Amino acid sequence: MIREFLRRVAALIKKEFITIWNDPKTKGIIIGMPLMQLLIFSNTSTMEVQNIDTVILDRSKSVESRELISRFEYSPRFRGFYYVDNEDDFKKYFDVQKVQIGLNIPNDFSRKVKSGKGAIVQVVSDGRQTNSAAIGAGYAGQIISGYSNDLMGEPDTGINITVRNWFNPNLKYKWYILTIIVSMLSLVTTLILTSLSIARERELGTFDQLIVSPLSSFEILLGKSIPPLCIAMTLTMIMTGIIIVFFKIPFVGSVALFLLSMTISLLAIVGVGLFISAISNTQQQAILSAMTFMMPAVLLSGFLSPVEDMPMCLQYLTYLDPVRFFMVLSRGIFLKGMGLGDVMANIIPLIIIATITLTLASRTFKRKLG
Amino acid sequence: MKILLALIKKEIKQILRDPSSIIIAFVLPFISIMIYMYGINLDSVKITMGIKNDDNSPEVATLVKSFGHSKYINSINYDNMEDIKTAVLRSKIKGAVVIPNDFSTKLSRGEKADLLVITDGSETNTANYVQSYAVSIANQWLSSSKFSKNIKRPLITAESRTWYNPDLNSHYFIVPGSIAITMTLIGILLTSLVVAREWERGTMEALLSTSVKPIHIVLGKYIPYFVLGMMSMAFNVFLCVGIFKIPFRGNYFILFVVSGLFLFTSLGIGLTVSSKLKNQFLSSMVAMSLGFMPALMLSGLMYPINSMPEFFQHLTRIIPPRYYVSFIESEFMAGTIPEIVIANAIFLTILGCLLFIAVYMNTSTRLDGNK
Amino acid sequence: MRGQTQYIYPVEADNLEKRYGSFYAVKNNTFKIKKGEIFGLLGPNGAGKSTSFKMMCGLAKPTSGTARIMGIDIIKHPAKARSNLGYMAQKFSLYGSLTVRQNLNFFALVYGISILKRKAKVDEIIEVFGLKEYEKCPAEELPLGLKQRLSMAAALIHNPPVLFLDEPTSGVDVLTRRDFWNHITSLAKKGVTILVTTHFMDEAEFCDRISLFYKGQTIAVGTPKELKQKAGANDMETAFINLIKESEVDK
Repeated sequence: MIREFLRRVAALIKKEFITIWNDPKTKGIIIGMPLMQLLIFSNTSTMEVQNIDTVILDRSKSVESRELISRFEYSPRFRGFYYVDNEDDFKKYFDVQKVQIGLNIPNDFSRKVKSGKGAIVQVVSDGRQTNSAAIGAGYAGQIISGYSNDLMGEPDTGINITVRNWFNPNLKYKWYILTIIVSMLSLVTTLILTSLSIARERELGTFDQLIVSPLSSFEILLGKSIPPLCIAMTLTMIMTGIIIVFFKIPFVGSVALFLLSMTISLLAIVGVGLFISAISNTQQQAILSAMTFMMPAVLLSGFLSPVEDMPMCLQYLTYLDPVRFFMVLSRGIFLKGMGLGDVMANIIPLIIIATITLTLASRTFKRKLG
Repeated sequence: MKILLALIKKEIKQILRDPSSIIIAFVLPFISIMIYMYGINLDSVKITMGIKNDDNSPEVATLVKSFGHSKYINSINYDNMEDIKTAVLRSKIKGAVVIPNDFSTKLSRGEKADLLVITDGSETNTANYVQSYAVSIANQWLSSSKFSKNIKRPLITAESRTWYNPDLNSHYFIVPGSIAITMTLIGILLTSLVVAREWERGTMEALLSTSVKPIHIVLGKYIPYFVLGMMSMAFNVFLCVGIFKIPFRGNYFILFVVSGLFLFTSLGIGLTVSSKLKNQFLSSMVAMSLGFMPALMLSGLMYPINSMPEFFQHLTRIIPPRYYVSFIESEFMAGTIPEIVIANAIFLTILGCLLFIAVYMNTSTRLDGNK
Repeated sequence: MRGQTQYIYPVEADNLEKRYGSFYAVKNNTFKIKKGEIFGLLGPNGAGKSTSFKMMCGLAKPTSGTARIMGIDIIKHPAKARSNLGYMAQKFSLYGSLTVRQNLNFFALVYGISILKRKAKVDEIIEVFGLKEYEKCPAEELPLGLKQRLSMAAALIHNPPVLFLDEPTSGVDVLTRRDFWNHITSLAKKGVTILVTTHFMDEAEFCDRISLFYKGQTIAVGTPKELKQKAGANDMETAFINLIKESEVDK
């Protein structure tokens, strides 16, 4: 009995692999697309705002104002400078998005600095890019207060703030975003792979052929979940290897725990994908339903803004979101070296999600028969 | 003309028959916008952080209180570093402030007092908030405390102004940006699936072997999905402006014209991909990788294009959402600025026409091959 | 001992019914097929023959009633019942990207042929169906006639005592159809029980017995000869039309 069971499941798994491996296009796209994206996005996803173009309206035209401007010119973050002599031109540069930051130095600047009364420099940023505007304005503020401190001399009292960034001492954005990009790419590939798998066979008629065979629902379920899980796991490992080797991101956690968590996270996603596939009649429905699941799942995973900051009802909803736990685990083990206890706390919800979705999927195989 | 109408009619019937295209055009944008509005907050994030205070003086107690009272901070008191470590590891807190026992003594002596700010660097975005919140609360407290007499006011202060979005409300730019995502999904993912299916089932080949002209076949695909996309666009704008009160300072006519150009370009990508690959699985993989993900990551929506390495900045020039995102953000927040409208519209038109030609050539060569 | 002497029909439909709300897609469908018999389900599209067929092999759940394959209830013991069944769908439904041999290997394993016997079995069936020169060819690249042959080969890989064919000859040319029916009749002679649906009236002549379907109900069962006599017609087509008219009058 067991041997026959294994034989049938093995046949199914082998068939899934052959369909992918026989076709060079499929093989290339499954492996190539995520890797290409990893390569591009790892270079482009940066919050370290650079190459800021600046428009300057210097009404003071004094030694002090020129000194301040030259500090901007020497900053590696600022790139192009445009000098104007009236407000209208100043605004024009912003309107057409030629600049991201503007400095408006009033004509009493030099006088106020000299008298020690305190001068004001206006830093204007382009709010159409809210994120980078705030960051760029922050840099400008730092340069200005740096100049101010130099003029005043080091203050002898005040609060001396020391910042320690645990797990990422230089607060490199890459470390953070790359673990997320890897999870995202695995998520997308796994979802497409699984959500189409049954829907595709149904559309082509081969699923009927499986149903009329002696295969049980459970055997079909195994045959349908193991191959995508293996592919997704391999892909995730390759991408993780790449970010460790090429981007020099330190892996501080336990490899065993990482493998375990990734397997279970991906299994939960396989479950969601197969469930979507089982309830869909066509591949179009399957892919579009997968998107309808993925968009909110990613948005609510805490990657854009922290889960604790969401309204309570949405916070509860995130407990159903495998992506949330997936990201906590990958980042937590990778960068923070999370221990067994904390890993378990995040794995258990994933196991529950996987169990429910896989059970529903295997039940739906047959229920769909009408 | 009759043939074209018949083809369009058939396509519309198919769209209406399958609820999934309606879901992607209307339900998903609705859900997404709801989440952006209520679940995503990029400007005034509320953060849970720990405080460890080793200084018992009453002045410092007011500092601890001001952390507790800040509407951006949810503070938890800790007695030892070990607990803070565990809490950060478990992501219970995103960082902590440690006040040493000589803090007030040093300040009253007119010396520099140390303050340690710890952040969870594994989440760099929240780590930045922890830093800046801690710094600004500490400085505010200092200037209103009895130690302030020793503090010199800075000689030069920067006064920040944010144009077009004075309150720095990130919803004003994320929500219009999400329109670009929806249009990409309809233009690229949906159409590439539909056409790939026709190849998969052989109906496309059957159609090509009839006397139908390739231009009819191409238009027969473009027009219905263009209409669906524009309807979804109108629905999205209605949600943004009508329901969620996102300010719109531009001109609706221009908004729809440029959106139409963007949709035209996206449809071109979707149709090229599917007629090359003729397989729904491959088409959707490629549509996601070349369409959807770049729309999210390379369009300027999430990351400033200016800050990317030079080579990748040039790469974004072939990505239609780049132009559209730039346009729609400006149109919503700054109103119609002719230079921006024209520049982006020209690029979109060029890309759209090139893709249209590619689609047309693809279809007509296949037609010749079949004869 | 009495059980052994009792004759078991390889295929039985027992009061099969499929209802959607108050609409009967199939009503009160009962028939038994003898060993080695070719039994045809005949009727226009939408008459319920395809629903009946699907219920017989477990692809659709009957609202009431059941079917038995080799005496095994398809609803109660689906896996066991199906291991006796060879099935060929109307549309080509093998794996297009797998080669001819890979497809056959797959179905051999799924139907529980042991690894040791598998190669011999697949070799044999490739030989019998004349697929030798195409064995390395991906199934989707075969011409339609060969695809049908491959489907048939896959359906027969485990030597099933019962074979279900759904419109097996739709879309293939006349010669291939001939060829195909020769194959079916020779299988029946070897004792394989065959259930076939078709809408080609001339093909009905090849069946031993026919069940005529109209509006979800069987309106006549019998050998082609009996049916023609009953309807007073010379060919199946007229017989069919006459029988439908009669059933309308009866109502």
